[in-house]
Amino acid sequence: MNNSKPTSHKSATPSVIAVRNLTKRYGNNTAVSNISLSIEAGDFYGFIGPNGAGKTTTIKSMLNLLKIDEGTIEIFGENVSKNLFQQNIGYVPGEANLYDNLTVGDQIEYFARYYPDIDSNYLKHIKGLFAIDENKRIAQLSLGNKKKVAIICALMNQPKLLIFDEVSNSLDPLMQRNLFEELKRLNQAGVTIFFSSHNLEEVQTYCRNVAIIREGEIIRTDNVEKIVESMGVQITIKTKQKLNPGFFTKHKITHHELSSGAVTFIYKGDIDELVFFASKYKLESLRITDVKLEDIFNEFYEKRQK
Amino acid sequence: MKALWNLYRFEMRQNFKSFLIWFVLIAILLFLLMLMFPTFKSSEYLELINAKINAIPKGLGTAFGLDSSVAGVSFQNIVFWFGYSTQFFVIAIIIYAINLGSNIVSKENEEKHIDYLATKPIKKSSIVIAKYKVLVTYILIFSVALFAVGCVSIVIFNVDKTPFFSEILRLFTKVFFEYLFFGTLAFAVAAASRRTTKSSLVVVAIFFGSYVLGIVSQLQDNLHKLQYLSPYIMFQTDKATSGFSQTDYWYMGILFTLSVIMFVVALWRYTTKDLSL
Repeated sequence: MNNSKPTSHKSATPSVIAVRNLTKRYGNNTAVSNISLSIEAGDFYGFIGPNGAGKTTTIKSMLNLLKIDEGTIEIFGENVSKNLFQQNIGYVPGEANLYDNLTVGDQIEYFARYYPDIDSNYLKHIKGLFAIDENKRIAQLSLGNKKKVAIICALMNQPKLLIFDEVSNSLDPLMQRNLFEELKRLNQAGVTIFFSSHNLEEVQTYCRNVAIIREGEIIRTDNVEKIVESMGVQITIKTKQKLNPGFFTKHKITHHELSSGAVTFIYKGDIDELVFFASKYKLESLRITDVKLEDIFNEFYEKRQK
Repeated sequence: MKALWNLYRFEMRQNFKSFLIWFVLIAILLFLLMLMFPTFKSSEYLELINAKINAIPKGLGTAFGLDSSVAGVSFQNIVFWFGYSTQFFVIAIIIYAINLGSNIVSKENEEKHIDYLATKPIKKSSIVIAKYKVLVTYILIFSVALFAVGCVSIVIFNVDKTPFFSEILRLFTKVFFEYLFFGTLAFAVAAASRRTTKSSLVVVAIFFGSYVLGIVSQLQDNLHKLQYLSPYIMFQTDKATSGFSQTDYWYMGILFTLSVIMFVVALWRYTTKDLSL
């Protein structure tokens, strides 16, 4: 599998999704507060946050399924309240609630009839990609298979914008791969993709940009590579002599973990200098790896909780 | 327009099974009740039965469709017998209309299909219009088909060749407005409420409340005006076979106008509320 990130076909492109100062309340409970997001054409954008952080509320507000209390949301430059965007979007909700009494074939055909120009060859292609028995009733399908039908229904009209809410949940690894390969192909062809996920590896692998949300507020939006680079690298080091506390304070390492005699920590400084000082303790092994988005995510949340 | 038609066709298909069950059950029961008519007609106890009807206090008789002061109230009259039998089915059809009006809106939200539907190229107003058209279509089909069943069953058992067509047509016309009113009320309540689960129960309670008010209005003269709050009593089937009075026209007009107003409220509320929670 080629995991290289799709490159954008455009630069300095206008916002496909522009969310400005969005606030949504359910009674006295504020679900999202003063959120602003800008997703440019051709972007592959990840939206991450723990359960209840406000991801689904944000997405449903973007789609005009929820009435917002404050702020504005535009898709393709038009306010979403005008409902002019549906022709050009595909959406997969977090829960695959399709019509249980229909067969898969009938379900796909019913949604296809909403579009004037479905390309039957493309529809055949995505049906093949997700390999599902069209004669089965939706009620008979597993959660994963229902999700596949929902994905087919979202892709069938070859939209310019895809919005997915935890799309890969309940898909098996093979189907996840098929889905993301297709999404990569579509993104390279200019389709903008915005998706929320709990799977941070997935976001790090495929997304160019990411927004992190917590308790209804965006705590960071940036380029994924930039975020990862700014965090430094993860170092696992094993020495014959025990590292003394001075080693950690000298290199501004505030947090480290010990496991099987090896010390693991995140380091942002000069690697040569670190190796030079570590060699004084008689190095046995040294491993340098990129920081994972998951580590960054955890750090954001831990900081906030403190 | 194509999207609206697509949804209309889909909803017609989705609701056909329940329509068929309700219709077949009611049609069979109506036919069975008409099957009993010859027994009443030839009964040696007929005079006794009529005497019993005459003995019922006027108010109570009116409340249960046995007002002996109304012309033609006799179990020997096939049109009266048909009207008397139909009153039970009118309640059933009103409940069907309430269920359909409520479910056609609320099911989409409760089962969260709305997340898919509302992100397809269809306006929210078109969703409401398509669904309301389905409600009106089924009420209309129910009325016309039951009218046909009624006519056939009368033709079979009408040994006296009593004229019946215009009488039965009047009855079905009047009660159609009742179905429309209560169906639209359920539709509007479901469309307007945030949590739609109990909307049909609320409207069934309103219907039976109005029914009780109607009965009370018949029992005491000083509460007579309460009958205007009860469409069921206003168009009680034993009287509904008689000609259209000025009050009937007004009342049908009011029910129709209220239905239109409730539909407009439903349309406005549906397009401005949270569709998905």
